[in-house]
Amino acid sequence: MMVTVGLGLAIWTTGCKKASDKSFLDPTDIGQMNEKTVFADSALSIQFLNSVYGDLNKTYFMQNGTTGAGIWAFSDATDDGEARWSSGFSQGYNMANVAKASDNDFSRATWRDTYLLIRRVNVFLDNLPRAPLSEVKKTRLKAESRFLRAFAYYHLLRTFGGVPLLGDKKYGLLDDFLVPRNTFTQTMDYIESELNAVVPILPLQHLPEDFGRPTRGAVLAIKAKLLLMAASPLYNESNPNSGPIKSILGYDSYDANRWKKAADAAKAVMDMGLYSLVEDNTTAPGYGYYDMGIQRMNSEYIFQIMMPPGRFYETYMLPASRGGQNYGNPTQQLVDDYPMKNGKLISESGSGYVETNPYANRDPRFYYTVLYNQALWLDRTSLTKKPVDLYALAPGDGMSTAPYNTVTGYLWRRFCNENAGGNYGVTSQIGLVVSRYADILLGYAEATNEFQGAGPEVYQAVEAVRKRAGLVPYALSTGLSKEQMREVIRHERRIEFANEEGHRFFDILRWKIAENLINGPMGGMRWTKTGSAFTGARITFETRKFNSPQMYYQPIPLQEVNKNSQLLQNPGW
Amino acid sequence: MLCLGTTAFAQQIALSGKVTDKDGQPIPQVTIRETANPKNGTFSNHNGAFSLNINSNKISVSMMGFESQVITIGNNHKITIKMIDNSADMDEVVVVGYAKQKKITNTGAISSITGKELRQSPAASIQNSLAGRLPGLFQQQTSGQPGKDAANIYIRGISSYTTNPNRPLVIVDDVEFQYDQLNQIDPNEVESISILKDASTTAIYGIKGANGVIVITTRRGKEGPAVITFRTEAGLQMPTILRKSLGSYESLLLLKEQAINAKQDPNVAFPGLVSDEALEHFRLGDDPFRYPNVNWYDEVMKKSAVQLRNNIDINGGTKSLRYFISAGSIYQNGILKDVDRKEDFDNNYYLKRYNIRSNIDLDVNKNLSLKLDLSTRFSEINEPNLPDPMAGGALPFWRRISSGLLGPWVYPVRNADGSYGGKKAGSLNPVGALEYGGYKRSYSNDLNINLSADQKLGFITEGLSIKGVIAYTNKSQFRREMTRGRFPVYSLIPETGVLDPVYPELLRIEPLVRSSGDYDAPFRRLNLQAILNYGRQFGDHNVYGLVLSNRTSDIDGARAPGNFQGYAGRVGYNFKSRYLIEFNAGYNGSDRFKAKNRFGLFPAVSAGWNISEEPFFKKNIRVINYLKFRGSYGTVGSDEIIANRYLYEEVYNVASNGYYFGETPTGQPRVTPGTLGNDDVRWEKEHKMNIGLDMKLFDSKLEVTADYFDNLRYDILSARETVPLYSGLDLPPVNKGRVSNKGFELELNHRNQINDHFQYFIRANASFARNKILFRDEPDGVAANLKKTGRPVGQLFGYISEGFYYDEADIANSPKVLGKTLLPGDLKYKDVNGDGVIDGNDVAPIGNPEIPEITYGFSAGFSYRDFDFSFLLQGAGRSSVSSNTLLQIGNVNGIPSAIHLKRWTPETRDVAEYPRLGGVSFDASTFWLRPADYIRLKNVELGYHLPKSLSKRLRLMDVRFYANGLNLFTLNKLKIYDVDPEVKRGTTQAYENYPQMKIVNFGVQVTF
Repeated sequence: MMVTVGLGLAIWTTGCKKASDKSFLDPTDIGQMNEKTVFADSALSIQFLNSVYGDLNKTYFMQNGTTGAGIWAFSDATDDGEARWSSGFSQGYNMANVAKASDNDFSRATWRDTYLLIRRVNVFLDNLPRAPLSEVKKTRLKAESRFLRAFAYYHLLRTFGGVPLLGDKKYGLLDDFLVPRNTFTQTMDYIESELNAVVPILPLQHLPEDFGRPTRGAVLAIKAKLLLMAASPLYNESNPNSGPIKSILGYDSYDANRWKKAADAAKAVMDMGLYSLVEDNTTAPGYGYYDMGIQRMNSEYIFQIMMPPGRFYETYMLPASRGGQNYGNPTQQLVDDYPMKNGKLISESGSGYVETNPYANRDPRFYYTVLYNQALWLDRTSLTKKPVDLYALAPGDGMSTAPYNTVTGYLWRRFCNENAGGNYGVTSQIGLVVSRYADILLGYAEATNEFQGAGPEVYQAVEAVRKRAGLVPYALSTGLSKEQMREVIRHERRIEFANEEGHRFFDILRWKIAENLINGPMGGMRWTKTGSAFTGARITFETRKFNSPQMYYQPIPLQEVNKNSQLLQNPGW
Repeated sequence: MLCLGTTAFAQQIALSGKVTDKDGQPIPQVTIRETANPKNGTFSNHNGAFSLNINSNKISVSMMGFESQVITIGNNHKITIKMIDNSADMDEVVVVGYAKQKKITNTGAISSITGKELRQSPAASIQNSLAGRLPGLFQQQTSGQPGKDAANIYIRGISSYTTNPNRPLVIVDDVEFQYDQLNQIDPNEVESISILKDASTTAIYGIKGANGVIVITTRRGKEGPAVITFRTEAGLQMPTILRKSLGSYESLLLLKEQAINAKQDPNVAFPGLVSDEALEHFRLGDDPFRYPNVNWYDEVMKKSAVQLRNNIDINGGTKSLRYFISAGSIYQNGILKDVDRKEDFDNNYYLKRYNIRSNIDLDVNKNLSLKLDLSTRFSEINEPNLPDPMAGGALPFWRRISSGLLGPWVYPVRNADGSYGGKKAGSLNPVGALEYGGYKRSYSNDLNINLSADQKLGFITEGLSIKGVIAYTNKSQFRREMTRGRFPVYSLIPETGVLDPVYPELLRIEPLVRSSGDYDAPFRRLNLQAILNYGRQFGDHNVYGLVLSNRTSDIDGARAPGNFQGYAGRVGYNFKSRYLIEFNAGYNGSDRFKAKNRFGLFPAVSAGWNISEEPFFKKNIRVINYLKFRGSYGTVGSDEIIANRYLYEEVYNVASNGYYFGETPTGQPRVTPGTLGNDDVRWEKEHKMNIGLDMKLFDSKLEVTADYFDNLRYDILSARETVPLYSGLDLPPVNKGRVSNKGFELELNHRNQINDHFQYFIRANASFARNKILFRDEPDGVAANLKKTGRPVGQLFGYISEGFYYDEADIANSPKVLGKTLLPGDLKYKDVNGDGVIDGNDVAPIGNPEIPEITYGFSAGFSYRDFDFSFLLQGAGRSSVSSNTLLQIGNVNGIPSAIHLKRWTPETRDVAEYPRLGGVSFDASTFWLRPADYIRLKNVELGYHLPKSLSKRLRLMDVRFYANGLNLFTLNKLKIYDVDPEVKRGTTQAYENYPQMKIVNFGVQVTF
């Protein structure tokens, strides 16, 4: 019986092969989706664009976005901070350890991830016409996606200089891939025209459920950032290079009108009348600065990368005793740059600064940005605020060279909610701020000052920021020269935007001052405890090196240059 | 056998006679020589008749496949000689795809060993027992963990630079097994293992044969009364190598020096540890709580771990029904210490495996026979699942205790009050982890059913038969993982003597929680085969062949089912076993390719010439009893595709919570495009060429087999490396790469029986395989010294070291180094591109591949009366290990050890063996390369049979006691960094993996 069945089956496999071939070896449908099925569905089509939004955070940190163990903040590669995770890109960068760095992780990740977003936008634009969506919705989504693409190019431009512009090209497997880099001017013009094109389409405000999508203000704010960058010394003067790379890295000659354009762009945002600084000096001096930083939505935010509810900053920035992982340490250079609460620099006479008690009476923003020895933070067990031990050999957190311990004697607390630890307390609902009104004000002040000197509108803009910060008095000395005002604005930016996006990193590059700032000893403060008294000593935790002009532009990833001889490498790499 | 008279004549005899086999059938071509004068000889004719004039009274009679005889001639000058079959010769068969072939007429490249040899090794995984025994088999055992210790094996090295596709196909009793099932098979069930190496033997597997094939046949019942064999053994496993750290005092002196050299304040870098006072305490060891010196290796590891194995099998049957039934169990315990804990769970490593097999043959009638094979394997593999919140999750246990994560000075095992020692931001106490940490356990059940029916079709034509096979595999697995985030550890604050909890918020022991682990959806495979077989002798002509249809469906959880369909054929012919030719072909289809690429033809041809069967050869050459030249050429394929099964489809994925729009954050799904589809995807292919010879000399006492092969793998599925990233594409692999792989094998085998009591054997084999990438899609701009093309798969790259910088003047006079601050005592590299600057462009190919290019084995043994003894030496060569991470100091990679004492200092600059501490020398370079060549005593066995008289009295057929060992000693050049030469190269895996084990094993086998 079984024999018959066995033989029968065996013979069947041979005998019936012709009839069953096709069906037997055809792939089994297991419900997978492809380009066709996704864009035949309205919801899936919209969700496709979420894959661009979802990876925007990769432009906010040097590498890997907000996932994994790789959030190397940009400030770690400046005179503001030091990354505490030993394999971070910034540690090699800070030492100018560039022997193999033309293939460094930061430039590779930026190049790859940003162009990945650009391709997704192009796939989206290619398919959008046939998606079953209303024309109104299509128009808006198209504008959103073009904005996102322009933003991606903006990030490429500030990192590398001019890059290949792909337009709406959606590459296939067998295309000819080799194109050259576009010039700085071409890249600028493309981004600007894309932004201009979507300005009239995007709304001033979205419905509550669409909060986080770019508004008209977001487009104008990014444009203001872009034009400010382009007017800056690194680009807006003849760079020392020759040949085709020269025009890729910047403009051929200085043009003061670029500052005017930048000022106008910032003014356009101010004139919208939609945005204002979050100010609250009644709860506590400068409380608005902190409060703004822990809110999901407020009058100051113009564009942000949205995040899930959680304790992102708390988990990464706070010390181990507060359930955090201590990813970055502010430097003494930054701490010393905070003025006193009377607005005077610590080196100024009459500032009231006492070296043995250095954290007293400082700019309120200091307390909302830096966690120093014996600063208070919520304790997990008692749920009361207790001092954080950042002195040498402290039980708990302490200062040492071990991973997760501070090397500078400081930790970041910017954007951390005071009522939370890394794994307890309130849940934050903040996003990653790309542009807020203070940025527009200071950008307006900077551009106007460069174009026409320190007039009253410049004073007004800077003082508005200082007033909100809780400085008393917040007014600047009158009669500042253009150069003095430039220093004031640069200083104000450093304090206002400490550990925020890539502000400091890209600022010191575009101002061409990085070679003076991250080329030498970097400091921290080592506190030792005797009885209950603390004694502080300034220390050097490392000596940094900055190769100029090489490091003003990131290298095009080595493998990319190897693949395509038309891709000119940046000088020095 | 002979008929003889009584008297001898001194003068010439005109001898005549006839040669027959045992049934009286005449045998032609038998050599008859006068013993005293070997030049005088003749052959028997086709009637078996011969005549020869001789001057003495002795003749020698020999013939391939029969025992040689010396016959004394008496009065009778007309004799009949009966030849006795020499089963070791003529009937020697090899297992090939879907058939067995006589070795003397085989034309392919095959090596094989018997189950008996396999069982001499106490290794738990079959892969590890094969090492050194099969020419052409390369293996690398990177771990000794119970249940996960199987070596990676490669037949004739590797031919593809993508990872998976180098795994050989595993066939058990003509049915395909998954590669991971191989190490589950109980050696007691194995009759023989063959590896098929060339095109003629693998073409029949077509699309799956390119990486070579391992063919296993299981034992079957023999007619006769039931024979029961019981085998039990117990052994001890010990690491082949111990990883030793320097003690605290010596370590800290080195670390202090390193910190000073790196311009750090040692008291900041190692607070409280390197002051003169602290160092004095470390030196004296007078305060073990404050100044500990812990050998963590000894604290957590036993000296040895137990291994137990039991087997029972019953074998017998009648003429028409035969059975072989076997049951076996193995228990391999792990080497972690048994700690005294309050909770009842086991988190040591271990393997428990139970194997059951029943093979039944039933001859229904003269023409129809059935086989019913059932086998099942249950296994349970356990390993610790220990937390380490500060070090980024659960690290492999070995890395915790053998790398720079935890030095002997960091904290004591226990503090003075009995609590566990610890350090904030430090690795969690390993002894505490043993007490409190959880475990990962995976259970797998594996069932194979194999039914076949073989019907002789003599009524159509003689020699024709048809066979049908149904094989079903079901493999299911589930895992249980328990873990505990942390447990209380306390750190002693030196100034105050206070014990400070390392996790301030945690003062109690958390419960074990289930971390993950679940059922894996079962893997099921149904395989149907129909085979038409033909084999017949027409006089001097022998014809054989088969036609096969094969269909397989895999179901693996929610994944797309895999479907495979194949047809294969074989036609062979030989004339008088002298001229041999065989054609093989596979015609296969797989659902992994688009319709236009779905089916492919894989043909091969092979031919052989048994020159020793030629009359002129027989007449003239006496030392050589047998000589065959053979050669084969053909094409085979490999359809192993990594990850995505349908590479021709681009799959879009939906993930929930992709982006959080909304004033109240609301996660919205995201749809992400996948890897682009490749419409043209098809299998990898390989041209295989093989030439070889088989030879027997000195009355077949010495056998020689030699093979040379030249393989070309092409259409290798490889990444497109020339597509710029700005295309934004996630690229599918394309069939582009080409790799050449050439080599040779030599096997010598000498067997001799001196007398009834003493026989011995000596066997040696060596294999060499070298591959070279002929094409991969490498960008043009890659500098010549960095190109992978033209170099072996897995080529290491690094700087070429030129020793240490002698002094400042040396640095000043040498090429500039970018991005580093150099000091005397750092490594000096060669300026490969001659641009006066040392940078990434001076990196060049260094060292040998990870997979050894040479592997060899030498075994010998004897039996004398009731004793037997054998050993196997196995080795490998032309492979490198890079130690640049393993030998670091002062960070998480390396731990201070003996090599660091030989560091460069101004005083020792002429004899230093290690760069200055705190330097910048850890890029991959020739300095850190070490040859991973080794030779090891892989196997020894000593056995003793109880004298027959005694065992008879016990009513037993046979009793044998034996002792054997595995990896008993190893010679290599890696002593300084305490790793086994087979470790994975270059990575920290060398210290992460469970150490390789040696085993000393004792057993008894009783047959009754």
